[in-house]
Amino acid sequence: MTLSMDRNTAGPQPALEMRGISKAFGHVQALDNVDFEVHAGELLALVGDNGAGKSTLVKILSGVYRADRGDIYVDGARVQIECPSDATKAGIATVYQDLNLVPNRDVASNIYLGLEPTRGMILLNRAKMFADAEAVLGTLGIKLPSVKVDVADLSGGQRQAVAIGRALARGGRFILMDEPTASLGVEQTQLVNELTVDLRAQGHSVVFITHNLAHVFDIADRIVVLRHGRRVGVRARGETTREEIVCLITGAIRGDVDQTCHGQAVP
Amino acid sequence: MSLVPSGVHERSPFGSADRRGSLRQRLRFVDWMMLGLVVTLVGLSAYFASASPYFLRVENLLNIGAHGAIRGIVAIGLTIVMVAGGLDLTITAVMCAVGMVTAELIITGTPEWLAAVIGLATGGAMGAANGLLVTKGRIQPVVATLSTMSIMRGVAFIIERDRARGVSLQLDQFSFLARDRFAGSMPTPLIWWLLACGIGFFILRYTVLGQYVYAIGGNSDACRVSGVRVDLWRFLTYVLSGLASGFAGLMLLSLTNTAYSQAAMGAELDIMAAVILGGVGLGGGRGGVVGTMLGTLILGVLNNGMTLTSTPLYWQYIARGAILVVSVGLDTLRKGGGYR
Repeated sequence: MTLSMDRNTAGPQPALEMRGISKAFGHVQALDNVDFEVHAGELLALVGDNGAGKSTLVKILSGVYRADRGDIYVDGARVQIECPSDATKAGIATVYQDLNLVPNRDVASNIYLGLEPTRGMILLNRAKMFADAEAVLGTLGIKLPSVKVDVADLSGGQRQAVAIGRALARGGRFILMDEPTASLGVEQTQLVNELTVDLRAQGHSVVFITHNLAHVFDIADRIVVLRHGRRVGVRARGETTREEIVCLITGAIRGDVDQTCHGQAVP
Repeated sequence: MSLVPSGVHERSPFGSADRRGSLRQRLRFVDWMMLGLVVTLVGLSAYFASASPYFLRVENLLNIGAHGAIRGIVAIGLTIVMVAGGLDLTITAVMCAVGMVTAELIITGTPEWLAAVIGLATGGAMGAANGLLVTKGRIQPVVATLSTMSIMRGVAFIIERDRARGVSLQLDQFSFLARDRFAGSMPTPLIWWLLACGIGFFILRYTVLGQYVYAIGGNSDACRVSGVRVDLWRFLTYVLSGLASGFAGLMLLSLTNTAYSQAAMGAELDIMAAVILGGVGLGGGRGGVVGTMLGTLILGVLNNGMTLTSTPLYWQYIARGAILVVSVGLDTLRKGGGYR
């Protein structure tokens, strides 16, 4: 039911869409003809077991990997994403699981990494960078000792807040979060989840990968389930149960894959 | 210490502003490494001043500066490469090859300034070759520059051919770079060194290149996924190092009036020692021009003072090694094994 709404033009046009995405690493088919839609201003949870292809999908969107086949559309227009800066241009920003920050540099430098404000071609405008970084963190109410502190001196939660700040600074409409809370404690996880909800409240579309179904049912609008590189289910939060999602993840019930993928059943 | 006043938006673990950490935070602003270097430099100088009546003479101090200058300039280029996580072993081979090329050009009738420009460009090109091997060729910096170092020495041999004592210039040729004195008494090499330090400091502190040099040295993967063109910036650091070494090669030629294929051989390790002493780690991401300058000065003072006090050469080697290992060891201890 949910599926038919997504597949047909009944709903609004997806803001971000992937069609027929496949990606193989050697003999491993990480993604097999996957369709994926994100609507404007929604908080989408991407779930699945280890090796289901979640991170691969996110990395294709963020320009780290290139898909073997398939197309990406933003507002219905096809976009080429071949490197991270293509993704930035398409309005896609990513918060990585493994905290891709530079420990020996300050908070502002990390937030503006790759997008530093300059004077002319070669001079760094550090004053503007510090001011902008404070403004970016301020929009989310993130409070750090100072934007001039090295990231090495921050806690795990603070670091993830910096990573989210970096995604925001990119002006991304779409913010992808690859297990943003995997390395955090309980309280800090709670705070990152609050930040995630705030991002949606500010009009961003957020895709987040997680293994924690409690979080999914706390904050997500829709849930996409991947299994063995295929999309086996798309559910609105209100129309499913935790049990159904677990069954889809583990393959205990047959997913929707036979309707979407050449009629093949999931093994 | 927090910048945002506490209010509705306060989120406790983010917002507690690390009360416990604030003392540590404040102590970080005291740069222990730099303080240690200055203390070492002052201590050494005080010792040699008491041991030799000649040490504190202006003429001797200028001498230390002039002798440190060539190594100091090379060290600035090496600092930039190493902060970005690279390594350049070709520094002295570039000096030598640039000297050979320039001397050959001068004795075959090229105007001195033109020969110098071509020599400098040769240094830049050699740095570019290193940069290409490391970035496009994906060869480890140690391996890449070890190979090119050998090739450059070989080329210098070819230019030298069968001239037993290298390529010698006339006494009055090419003296403006290092032999003439500025304003009557200031040795020109010292001026060049200060200028090179100024340029290096400016690059690392105020330019986009400097920003990326530290970021790439800190975490090159993070830079890559953030859209930083890591290869381009790395390549540029090697070009800069080639230019710095090339300029030092011109100075050496001007100072000695001779270019020969063994020039400055082995000095690359001394220069690297000065850079590491100054706080640049092999892993990259830390250190800077001021530290490198202090490191070069400490080794220079040590050399000069031990010569003035007629300390045997083997003690000079041992003292240099001891200072290096103690300073790096203390720095590692203080950090508790580093933060990564």
